[in-house]
Amino acid sequence: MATALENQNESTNENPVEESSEEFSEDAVLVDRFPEALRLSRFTFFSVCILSLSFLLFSSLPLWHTDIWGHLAYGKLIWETGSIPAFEPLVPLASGVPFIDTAWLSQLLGFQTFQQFGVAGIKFLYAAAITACMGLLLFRVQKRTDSFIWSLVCVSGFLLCDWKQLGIVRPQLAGLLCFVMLFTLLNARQWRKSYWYLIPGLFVLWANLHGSFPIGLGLIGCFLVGRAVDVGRKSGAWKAMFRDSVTRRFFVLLELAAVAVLINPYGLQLYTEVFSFSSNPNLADLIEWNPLTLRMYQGKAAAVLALLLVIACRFTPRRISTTEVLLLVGLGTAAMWSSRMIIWWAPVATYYLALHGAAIWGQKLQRLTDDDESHAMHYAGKWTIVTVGVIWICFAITPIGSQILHGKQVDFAKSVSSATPIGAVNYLKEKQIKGQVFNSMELGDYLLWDGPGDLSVFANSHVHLLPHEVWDHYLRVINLSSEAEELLKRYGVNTVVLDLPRRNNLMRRLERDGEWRVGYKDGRSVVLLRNKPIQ
Amino acid sequence: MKSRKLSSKTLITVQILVVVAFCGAYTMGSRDSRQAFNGVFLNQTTYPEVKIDRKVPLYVEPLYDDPSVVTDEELAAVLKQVRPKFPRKHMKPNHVEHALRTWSIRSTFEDPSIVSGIEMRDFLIDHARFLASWGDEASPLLVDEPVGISIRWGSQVGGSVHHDHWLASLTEAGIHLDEPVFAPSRRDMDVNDVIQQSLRDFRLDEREVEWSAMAFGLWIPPVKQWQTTDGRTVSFDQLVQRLIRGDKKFGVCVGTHRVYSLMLLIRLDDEFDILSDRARANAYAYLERVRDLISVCQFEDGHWPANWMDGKTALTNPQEIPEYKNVIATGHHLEWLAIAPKELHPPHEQIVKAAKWVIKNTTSHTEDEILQKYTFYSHVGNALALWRNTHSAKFWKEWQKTHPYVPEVKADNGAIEAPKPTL
Repeated sequence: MATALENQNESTNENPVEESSEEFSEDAVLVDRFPEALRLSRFTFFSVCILSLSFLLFSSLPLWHTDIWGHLAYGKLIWETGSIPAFEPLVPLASGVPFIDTAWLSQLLGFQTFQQFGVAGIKFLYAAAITACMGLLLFRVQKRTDSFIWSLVCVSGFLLCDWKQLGIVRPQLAGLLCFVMLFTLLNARQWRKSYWYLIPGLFVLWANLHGSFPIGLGLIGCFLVGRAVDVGRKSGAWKAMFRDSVTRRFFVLLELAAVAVLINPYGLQLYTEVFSFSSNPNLADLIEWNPLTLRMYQGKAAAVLALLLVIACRFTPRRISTTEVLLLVGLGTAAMWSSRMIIWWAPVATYYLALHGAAIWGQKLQRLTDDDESHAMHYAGKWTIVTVGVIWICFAITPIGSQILHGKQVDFAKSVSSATPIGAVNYLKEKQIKGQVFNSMELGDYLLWDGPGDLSVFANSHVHLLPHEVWDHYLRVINLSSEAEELLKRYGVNTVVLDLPRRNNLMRRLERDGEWRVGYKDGRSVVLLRNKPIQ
Repeated sequence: MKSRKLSSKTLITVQILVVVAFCGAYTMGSRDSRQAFNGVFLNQTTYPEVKIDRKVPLYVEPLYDDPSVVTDEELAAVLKQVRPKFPRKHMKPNHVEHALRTWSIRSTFEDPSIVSGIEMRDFLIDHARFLASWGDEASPLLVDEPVGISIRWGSQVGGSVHHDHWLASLTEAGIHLDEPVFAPSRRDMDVNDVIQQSLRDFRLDEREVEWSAMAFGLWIPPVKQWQTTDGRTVSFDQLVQRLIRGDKKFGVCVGTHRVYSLMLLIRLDDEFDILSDRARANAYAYLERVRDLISVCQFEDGHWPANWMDGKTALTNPQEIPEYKNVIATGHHLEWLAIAPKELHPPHEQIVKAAKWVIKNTTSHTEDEILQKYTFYSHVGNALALWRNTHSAKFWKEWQKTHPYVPEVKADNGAIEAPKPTL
């Protein structure tokens, strides 16, 4: 990040020693003996402050109780067996279901980090991924607008709109980082030769980290089509688009990226899996796969952002490229189709909002940002020192920093979300409960990670791997169907683990029937035991 | 974004690279990978098929010939009661399936009012015969599928009641793999096509898997696993786990078919090793628990109650259970015990008592009463024949030689009197 911002300064000010007279008079007493190459600007300092604080913020957020634990469990299995299982390995009710692990590398990486640094390591990965996304956006917007304020608007909009999505720690964050990185590379003013290696390399990594790489291919596709249309329209001859070097470059880049994706343990099957994934009927019952509505927080945020974009597009002096329209409409439509897709739309939308906003602002205020006075970069050793100091302080007080620097172990209970069923799992282990349990899907991942070895978890967040009948039965029980008790008996369930207070009604219903008693209960979860266990 | 123009040479090289990479990935991928690709991107549906090495299904031999359980006369009396004396009009597939299972395809009867094995088979496998019986009052029993035939099952009129019961019954009746099956619009199918369709359609977590387990067990060994249309791989191990899952009271016929299917799979495992050691041990342990439960819940008169899974509580805290349900429990338990090793038996005298009770019960009803509850009583006939290490059709053929059909007896429409059971 620091390097990136340093580049920005280099590109906007060829003579960093040249300073304003005011600055010079201030520093005249003390001569800056800091090596020139290491001097930073105050913009860099402020950017680093923003990023460091966000890193601190995300490091301090408790780990969300779903997804991550399941992924760590898969990572552990892959590490221990040295191979990726061909069938779903952790949920017995899904035995025999083909398992195409599109996030195997993230899981392995996550598990190894957890092995080394515990929960602090996961927090580090989580905060680093989001901070890196912010840094890339900050950098690119600054490069395009020369405006620190609008780059802040961009990252703030991104955080606000994607807040719900960013709250869940999962391999998708690795995909998001790849996406933002690709987006910033494609929006670079100048194409560098290294991109021919960097972008396909990024796709190799992406295809193994998370199954969201088709979004990246779509991103390049939008740049390709957008450029081709623009060239065609501008020249008035459709053949011109084929002769256009940039169009050709995007075309070749798309092909190379598509080929790079094949470098994964499944080869071509990865494409099959990710393209058929969303048609899995089980996903239709999950809120995050449902259409985006204004009732959702992220729906409201998206609506506000879209409105601002419309206004910005109306008044912007910038030319609106076809690529921009394709990306905003394409990803926006996808987000309306499935709310989970908003995670890709938000960075793109806020990026273009910042670009247009800066352009409007610059026009209205006689391009203040281009004035020599405001544009001048003030490089000084003191900024380097305080920047390093801020980074050091922010790192030192994060969980990973505390652990590495002071050997201070992180309090696990305080590091995870309040809904994590720590007490319930301890109870299950203490009582050596085994066999088939019924559990809230949200708790399934943690049960897989930390629950007793002989416990058969009913469902976890990988609901697409559950046979449809099992998922249907799960929903019937969790939604208090009249046949809930019969279904539990049919599955031979003697133990029920539920999250509270969300599943209070189910707990009360089971208790009321007299067949169940509470074995353990705290504010976050409950373990119910059958009075007469099914043998 | 400025850059140098890509040369045509570079463009062609990249095109070659792309074609080689994707073609290579496709051809080097596994069969499943290619099929999945074709399904998603070319909209080609793949129909997995299991190679079946035999033309006639396997048969699990009964292990005992015990006249103390049932004598020839008692067996004949019971079998007379459970002859398939169905009216040709509106013949119920469920009844026909049960009758076929008990009597087999080779069964013949001197009494012309009784439906023969061939006639029953043809009713089930030929849509024209079904149509002759039902006309347009019921939907076809056989349903055309793109590459097979499925069976209409459920509670609708003229349907096969249980999933895969059609297949399991015809399998136990000894149907040939190549026997043609005539669906409403296809006449080029055979039993193999029905089996393949059934294997593809199978869902491990559906409500009843007992019949599927039996049918697949008797056809596909030594193959141990297969793939369904949703891509799931199902094995006999999983079938065992599914059969032993949950409260014992659930399952067809008060949970007894699960027991029979498990016993059948264990016997098949003896010969074909279709189960893992763990699955076999689990199945065996389940049967041992069933043995222990029925050992302590038999009533004084010899019947096992429908709530046999409650064990001793069923005796000490008896429930009001319709008699036919006790017939179900007793008849079905006798059936699986006939193919079970002695280690899985309750005390022999309990088996004898149960047999005598069910013989007495069966012979004390009129043919009409039996017909109303035919599905349950058919199991009694089959179970008792197994205990004499014979088959109903074979035994009845021999019996008819010495006890020829007399039309007058038929006109009486009464049950022949069974000798008083000896305990």
